[in-house]
Amino acid sequence: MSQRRDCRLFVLIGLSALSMAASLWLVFGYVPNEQIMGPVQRIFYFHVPSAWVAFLAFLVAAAAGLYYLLRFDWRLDAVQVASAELGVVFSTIALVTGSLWARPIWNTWWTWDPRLTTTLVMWLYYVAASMLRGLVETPERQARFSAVLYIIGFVNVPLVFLAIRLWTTIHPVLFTSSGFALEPSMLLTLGMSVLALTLLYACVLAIRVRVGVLETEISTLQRHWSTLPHADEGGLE
Amino acid sequence: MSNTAYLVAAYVFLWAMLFGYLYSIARKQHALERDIQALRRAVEREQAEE
Repeated sequence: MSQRRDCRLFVLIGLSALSMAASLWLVFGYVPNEQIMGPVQRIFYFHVPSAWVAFLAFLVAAAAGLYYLLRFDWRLDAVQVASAELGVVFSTIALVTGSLWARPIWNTWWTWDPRLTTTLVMWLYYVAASMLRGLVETPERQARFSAVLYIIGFVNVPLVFLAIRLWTTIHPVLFTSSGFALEPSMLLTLGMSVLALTLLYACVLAIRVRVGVLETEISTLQRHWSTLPHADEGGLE
Repeated sequence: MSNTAYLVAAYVFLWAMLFGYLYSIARKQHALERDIQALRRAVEREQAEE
């Protein structure tokens, strides 16, 4: 079982590496410069996929949280924590690369545009949720607390996506009612970058979940050890 | 800053974030290995006393 899991992870890592190499080649060797913005527009090919992966990660965290509240399985707690962490990592990338793209194009690092503001609120919420988890005492309560926070937090995610449709904004709209507003070569490059970062997310999630499950098992063993009568004589060093 | 410098900065940040996160996972794993060693030593000590 474990060997099969290892094998699946290695296949996933291999696919992720291949798609990442293909994506980098498409971004820097294939797709032409955008006529108005020039080379800086290439930030787009990792900015948009990072935001997409962040949305996916928060969806997985909320789903794992909901499932945890039904099943009380420790592995689901590890999944929700790992996915929320990755969501924060990818939304940080989306925010910072967006800011670096905005500076030469909008002539500002930041503006309180609805898309940017809702993304920042989402990011702050998940950072705060991860920090608050550490303040809860018992692991069971930590898991339940996080599950509730991740489920509630996900309400903001569709709002981030829809912000550019609900309010007046300067943020470009990529998906219109008539399809993608992109040239075929740009769409191909974007598609490969989305695939590459999604596979990377899956790889890192699998590794982080394993570490999370181990952390829980070891802390359970440590707590069990400390309740034994001989624990005072020789502690864990 | 030239137009291309923003592009370079964005890609450097992307990879720095990803490798930074992977490094933090690796550190957690090292800490777990140390905890496993401590538990193993404690169990061995206990068995030797018995």
